[in-house]
Amino acid sequence: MVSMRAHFSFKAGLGFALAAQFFFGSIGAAHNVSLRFQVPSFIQFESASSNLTLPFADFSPGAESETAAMEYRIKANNVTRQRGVLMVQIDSKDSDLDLQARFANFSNAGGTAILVRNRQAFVTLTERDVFLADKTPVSGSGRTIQGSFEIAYKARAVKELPAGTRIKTIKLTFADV
Amino acid sequence: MKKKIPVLLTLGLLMCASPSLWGEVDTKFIHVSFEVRPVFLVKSSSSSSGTAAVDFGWVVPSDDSSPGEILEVTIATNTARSYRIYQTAASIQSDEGSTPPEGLVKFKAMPGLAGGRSEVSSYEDLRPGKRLIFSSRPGGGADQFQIHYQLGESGILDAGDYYGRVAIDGELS
Repeated sequence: MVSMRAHFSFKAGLGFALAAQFFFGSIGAAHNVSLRFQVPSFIQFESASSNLTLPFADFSPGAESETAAMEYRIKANNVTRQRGVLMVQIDSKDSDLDLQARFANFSNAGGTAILVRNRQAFVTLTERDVFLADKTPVSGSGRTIQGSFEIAYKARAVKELPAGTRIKTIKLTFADV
Repeated sequence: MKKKIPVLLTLGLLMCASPSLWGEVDTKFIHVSFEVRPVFLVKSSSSSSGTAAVDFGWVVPSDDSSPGEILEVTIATNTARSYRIYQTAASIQSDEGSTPPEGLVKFKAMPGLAGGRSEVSSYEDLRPGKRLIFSSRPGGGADQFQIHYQLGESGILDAGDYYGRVAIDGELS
């Protein structure tokens, strides 16, 4: 009776070992691997130059300076904002002179949205943000903008202008939310 | 006579209680048979993290210089049959449902340390579906090889967390 019990327990142990091997190893086994990468939200906004000169030929009220265009490059991948994606303001406004700007010529370089002019005419810059361009989706998610555009600048005399040079700072802002 | 009877009875009881006292040998035979099943295991893990994940981390495709990841694939087998290793890829998608352009992720398989042959020796696009990537040497046997993954050139990508999945599986010939 003692030897019978020993025999039984041995068989049970052997059976477990084979079952474990059967589950851990099999023919045609597959192994799943996850694949992941994260793309951060970013804005790259660059201009070809940081200086601009607007010469006046006349000093009388209503006189306009020459128009100068400046080129910008934009790359952004999480633009959810629609209106006023591009805004502009001036550091201080003179009472005898208006500085004006107009968005022009967006060239799409593979983005899923483009920038379009917010208004046709030149807008007068103030010390508060003025909308220059909006976003229009063209494909896919419509959240990426990649391309270049120009902004034309000119000044207009409101009163007679004394001779001299004035220096102003224009702040151009691209906002994605 | 009165004294002999209890002595004989005591001796008889002791013999019944302990059979070894009789001086016999009791032998038992157990028949054991072993069966080793054919085993064919494919395991894979990242060479950088050691887990079953290919994680490129934070990247800006086109700006970053081709970030790459290596997956180590190990085949354990006790059969003498040749085999093939396949990669089955599912489409990649971001947490917001954006899909990267085809060809963003590229891969290639390296030759096996034990003589297995790569079936994708130069980089090619990771496309959804099943692709033969590796063949064992004739006669099979355990082997080990690497799969190199790389993010290729692409246009601008939506911000987000992108996930995909590949299954590495083998088939005995």
